[in-house]
Amino acid sequence: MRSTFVLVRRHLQHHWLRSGLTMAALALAMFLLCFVISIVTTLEAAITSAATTRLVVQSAVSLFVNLPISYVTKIVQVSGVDEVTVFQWFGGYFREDEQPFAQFGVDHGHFFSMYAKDLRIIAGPGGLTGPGASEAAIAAMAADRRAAVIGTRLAQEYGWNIGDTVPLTAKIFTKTDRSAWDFNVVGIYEPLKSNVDDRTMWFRFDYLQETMIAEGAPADFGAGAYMVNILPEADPSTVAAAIDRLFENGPQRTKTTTEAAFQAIFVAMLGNVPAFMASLGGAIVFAVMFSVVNTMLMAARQRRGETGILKALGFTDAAVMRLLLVESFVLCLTGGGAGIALAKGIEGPMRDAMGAALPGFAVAWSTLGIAAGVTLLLGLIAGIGPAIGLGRLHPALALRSEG
Amino acid sequence: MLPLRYTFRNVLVRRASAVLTMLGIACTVAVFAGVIALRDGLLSVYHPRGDEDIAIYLRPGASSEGESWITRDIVDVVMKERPEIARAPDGRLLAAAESFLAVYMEQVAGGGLTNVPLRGIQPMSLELLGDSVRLVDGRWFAFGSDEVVIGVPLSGRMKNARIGDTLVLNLTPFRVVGIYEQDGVLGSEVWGDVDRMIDALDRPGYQRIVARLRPGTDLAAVQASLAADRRATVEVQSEREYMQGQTNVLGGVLQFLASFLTVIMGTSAVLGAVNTMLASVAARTHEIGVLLALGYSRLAIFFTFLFESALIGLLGGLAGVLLTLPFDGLGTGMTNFNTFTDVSFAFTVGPRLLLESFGLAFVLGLVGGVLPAWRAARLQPVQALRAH
Repeated sequence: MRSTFVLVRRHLQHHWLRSGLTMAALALAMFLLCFVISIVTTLEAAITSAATTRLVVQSAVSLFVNLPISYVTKIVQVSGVDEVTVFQWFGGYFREDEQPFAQFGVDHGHFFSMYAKDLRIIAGPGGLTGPGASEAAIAAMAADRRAAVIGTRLAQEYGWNIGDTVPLTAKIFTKTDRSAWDFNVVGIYEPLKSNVDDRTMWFRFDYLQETMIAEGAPADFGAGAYMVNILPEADPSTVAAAIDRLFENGPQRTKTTTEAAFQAIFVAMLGNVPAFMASLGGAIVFAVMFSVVNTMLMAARQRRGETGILKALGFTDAAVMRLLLVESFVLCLTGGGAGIALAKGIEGPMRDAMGAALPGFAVAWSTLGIAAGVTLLLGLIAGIGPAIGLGRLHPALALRSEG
Repeated sequence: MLPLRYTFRNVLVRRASAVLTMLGIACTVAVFAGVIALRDGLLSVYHPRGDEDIAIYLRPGASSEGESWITRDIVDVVMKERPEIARAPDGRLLAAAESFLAVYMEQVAGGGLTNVPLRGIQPMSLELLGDSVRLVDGRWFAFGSDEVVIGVPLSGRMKNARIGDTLVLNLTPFRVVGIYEQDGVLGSEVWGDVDRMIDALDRPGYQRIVARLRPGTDLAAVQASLAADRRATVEVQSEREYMQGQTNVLGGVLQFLASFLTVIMGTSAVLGAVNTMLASVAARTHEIGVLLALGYSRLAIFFTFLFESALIGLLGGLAGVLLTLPFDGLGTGMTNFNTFTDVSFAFTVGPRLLLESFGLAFVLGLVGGVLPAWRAARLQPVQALRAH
């Protein structure tokens, strides 16, 4: 067996340029395969990592229809409900030409306790970090109507820090004088789950509500959605049905789903991404397969004379075949392995590059497993045909082709 | 220069290797063309209705209808007082106030929910669309009634979107009475009477005013006068400008995806082509020696091999294009992130994309041929002749 590897290494080294080019092609293809699979798994992770004990109450008609603010008091009375917060998309921007980030108006008295397992405040007022930061930030939130807590990446991207005032231009909640909305940063959070973005700003819903009412919005200025934490022993579908029953005769019918189902809606909106990515992945694998098969065919062609000598020396057909198959596997695993390692290695920079387009981009270990499996399969496909050809070759015929 | 026949025959002789390389290039071209066909399909539905004088009024600061809100009072002011809006020969104002809301519908494929544009329109909305809109099946909804019509592609892609189905908007059921067709993005929407929509959804405001302007109107001047008008708090833009602003996000994502995939797959394909051409040069070392001895210049040898590689690329491009062509016209849909609504469109493989695909394949082949051709051209005649 050792001699097999020595021969294989010699062969690969002898045709170093061809081996190197093929390995590089494989590395690129496997890197790309990991990338397209990761797009799908990242989207799926957002669904699977969503809380099972949280419900989302939204309008049954549209994502963009607000629910009356009076719904909160009715929802908290439903049996099985633990805590409720409003959840209002703000849709503002700092500078128009930059990557957008999300801002949500929430009930600061409930939001942070409800989301204790989703995010952790790591910096608070007065330079506080560590365990005390969270309480201090929540207290600051209660004291300042314009207070906001921002994600670590947001803080890093814009250089915003505790105490900074961030002016945002509104696209939906425009004021009559068209002035910007000022938010005071009192805390920085880090996500604890992959479905929580690190580029979000959480601010006080009552700041939005009061300002808009002063601007002439109706006094029952509504909220986009309500997030509902249910008690651990409660059944999500029973509670959801009970909430929807409350409002089935209006004024706004509701659709209550689990947070996972809510996230799934956003993934479904993207269109058939898994099918699209699967066809891309297929094309990538096929393209490189042709390349590797070509390389192994070339290798086998050049190996005819040598095969004749080996066979004349007493090497069995199986040994000759094994030699070429092992070469194919070594070629594929080296190249493919490099691509797979690259995909995992530059996961962080890729996540940064994708930014808001695909938050939480991650290359799962299972993805690397799939790519490794494909690499092995490619090694087999590329090696098996030429190997059988060499195995069947008659020694005399093989020797004659020397040269 | 060596005859072209020499190159063709070389490709034919080493056909297994050449075909494998072509297929690799074909896959790359197909991926490039497929993603760009998707982007082009999206862009193609966002074209103005061929009428340069159509303008869109939105709330200041809003970049799409979904973000806009125009109260009844403002609509009245714009409709009654704005001098730039044209009139029909019979004196009617050529302007319509419309409502717009992305409503949930269930997709046939996959069954997930998506946001479908629901538009409340006025009779003038249809008049302004003119010939670009046609009824395909059933009848138009009656103004003042709880009826809607649905665009052709949407009717096929969404559940509960055929004639006779009922769409419940909050508490009010609306009957689907017709299927219409429109050449642009307005073709994948649900339309009903604007007053009934506002009522049923309890949203007392409009999202946009669409109007035909008097010929030769200077939009910048109109915008300036609107900015000074304290009662007509709207912003105006031409429909062309509006449409162009609706695709930058999804269009950009697809463009990025196409570039990213093409660069990496293209590099991979080039490496394959280099291997094939290196083998081709190695197998013909003796032959090259003969050619050099006969007096063919090194430049001629270089270009012969370069041409061979480019030929493989072009044939690969042909195969790639043949792989992509069946997708032309295939209907699909995605959420446009600018409007956050679903838009139906078809893969569009136009002449320009075909040309670009061939160009890409040609370049991949050419780049793959440079190193091997250079190697061939540098061979020493005596040593080359000794080979074999």
